[in-house]
Amino acid sequence: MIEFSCVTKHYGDITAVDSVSFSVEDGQVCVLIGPSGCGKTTTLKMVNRMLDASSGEISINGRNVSELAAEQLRRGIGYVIQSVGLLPHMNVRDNIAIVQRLKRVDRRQRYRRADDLLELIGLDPEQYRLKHPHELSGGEAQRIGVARALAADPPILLMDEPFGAVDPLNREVLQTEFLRLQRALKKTVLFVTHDLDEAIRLGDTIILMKDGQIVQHDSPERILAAPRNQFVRDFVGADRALKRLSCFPVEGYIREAQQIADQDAASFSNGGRGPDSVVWVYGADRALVGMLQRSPSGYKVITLKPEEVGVVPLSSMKEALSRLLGQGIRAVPVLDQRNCVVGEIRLPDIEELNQAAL
Amino acid sequence: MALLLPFIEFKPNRVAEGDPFHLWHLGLTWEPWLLAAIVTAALLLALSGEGPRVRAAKVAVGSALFAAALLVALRAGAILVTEATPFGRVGPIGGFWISALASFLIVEGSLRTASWNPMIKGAIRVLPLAIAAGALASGALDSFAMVQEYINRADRFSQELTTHLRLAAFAVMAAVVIGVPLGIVAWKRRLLERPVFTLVNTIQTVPSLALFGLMIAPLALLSRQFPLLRAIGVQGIGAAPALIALTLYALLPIVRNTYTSLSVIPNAVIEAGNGMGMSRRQLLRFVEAPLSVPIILSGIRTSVVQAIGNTTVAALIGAGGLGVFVFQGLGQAAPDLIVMGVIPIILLAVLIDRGMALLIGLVTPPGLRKDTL
Repeated sequence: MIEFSCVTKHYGDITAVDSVSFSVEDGQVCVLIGPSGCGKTTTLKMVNRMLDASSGEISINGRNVSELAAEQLRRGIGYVIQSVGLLPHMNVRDNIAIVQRLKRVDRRQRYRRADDLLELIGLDPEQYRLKHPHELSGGEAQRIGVARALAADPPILLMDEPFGAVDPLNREVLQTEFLRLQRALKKTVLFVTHDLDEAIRLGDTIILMKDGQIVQHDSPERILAAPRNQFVRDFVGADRALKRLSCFPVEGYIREAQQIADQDAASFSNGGRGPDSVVWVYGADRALVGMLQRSPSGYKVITLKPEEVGVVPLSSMKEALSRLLGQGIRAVPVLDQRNCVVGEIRLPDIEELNQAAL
Repeated sequence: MALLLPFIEFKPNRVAEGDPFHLWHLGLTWEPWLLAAIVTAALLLALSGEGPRVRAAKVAVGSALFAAALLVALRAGAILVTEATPFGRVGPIGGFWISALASFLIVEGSLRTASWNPMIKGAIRVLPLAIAAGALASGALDSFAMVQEYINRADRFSQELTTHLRLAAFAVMAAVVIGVPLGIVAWKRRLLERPVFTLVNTIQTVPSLALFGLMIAPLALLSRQFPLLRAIGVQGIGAAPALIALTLYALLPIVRNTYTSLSVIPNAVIEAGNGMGMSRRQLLRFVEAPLSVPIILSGIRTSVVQAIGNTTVAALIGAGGLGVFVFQGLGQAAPDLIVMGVIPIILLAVLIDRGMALLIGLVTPPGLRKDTL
């Protein structure tokens, strides 16, 4: 558990953080958000003493951080920053293993751990372990950054706008990845972002800050449904109904999907189902290749790219809606890792979810 | 051109005016024809496009060109210098040098684009030097003016060579000891950045001769005032002022590269290092040193090569070194003596430059090699 009590940070005459108190429960993701200059990054950096508080107390599991040696403290806390900061002269494996090297873990054990972590973040160790940072894409580098933070298995992670420099499409992928990891690892995470959708999607709780003070500390749903004041209302924006959809992973709304192998598509007959239902077509390895569309002469197959139309169980309902509107189809296929259809998300369900809030 | 210009000159003695000879008037039989054939082959190859085979042929013909030119010069030397002219000597001129230059351009031009094993490339590059050295060692070049100058001064030569190397080496070592901390300070303390660079830049703009001259008066004074200094050999002229001047010259590349090497380390990497819990020493060991040492070394590389050249001038204030021969040659109007002093200086500079390049390649971590090569 991370606890802030009456923490203040001054820079000369400027008060960057003003008497802030909150706590993050074990295994929870707490997102700090607010306009630039609101003190969210300063707040984060005081936890691992990259900055020292001017007054007040920060404690981790009851121990005051200012009483611990900064280096020891930091080795026990995972730290991910927006610019990643991989060591350019070391390969991926050595980068991931660096904290354990500081802790004098022996090489065999370090390398085994690095391979495990590469697996965990979904990168093939064979292919990646000897690459150097300049050979990685932005998204890959950021994943390695997360793996490095996790290497020493710290109970706490500090993430300072980790996905801020990644393009929107990759950001969604990385967020999904993060949710999957967090489900498995149950870290206590303090996460800074300026992207409200990201905060809503990833946070168990959200702390909205302004001028160094906490304006509202609540669950994402409550922030959207019950903004405490005009500032929060403005920050959330007029499209909060849409934003609210980010709170819900699609996994709770999956409906059974009708699908058919591509060689049978020609002989398909609509076995009494409604004319609006979608039929997905899969190829040789059961991966999605397209959908059936009715034409005057019967049915024909429209080719689809799985990564363009599909969502995964941890995607948000907002993503599902945007795919629906973007592709102009009646349902979105939910895919597993091999692009097989495990179900679909239908427009009426999204509408219903939205109605429930209003 | 190589075939038309005078190829070699004959001097009856050391200071006499040279007598140029054309390739065809040397009284040689088949050798000029061999050279002509090789030149023709080179011309044909130059017109015949690209490709690995053409490239290999170019390298072979280019190397042969140098060997043939050297052979012609040797044979000419044997014919021109006889018992009747005991002080006679020959020297290669226009035609020979153009052949040598053409040989270098053809070979180097083809090697540059070839994707051969670096060892093989290196061997091909060293080959002409090896041939020349072989000819020298065998005594076949003894009739050459430069070699004559060397033979007359063999002892002195090795002594001055050692002095030259020692002066340059000590100067660069001193410059490293002063320059690296200076570069670090300039980076860490923003206030000192401008004064430090103004100083080292200004030193660099003082002509070397003037700097050596400027050292004389103050050091002579110090030496008179403090017997202790005099006892360890500090005087207005000699090694002490030369070392100081050379060190000052060597500073700029080292200070500048040290500064640059620190400034190019991304802030994010430092922050990540700190954030992961690196101590000051670990940050130096895992982050700063591996990233900056190759850049600092390339500054030292520049300094050494410069120092080898600058040390030549040190001879003027009595510090010795290969410059002694250069200035003797100037004084005695004996160009061959100048060349004899200059060629080893060039060879030294090139050799040390390649050696440093190799060392830099070794200490550059694999992840960084792409940007530096």
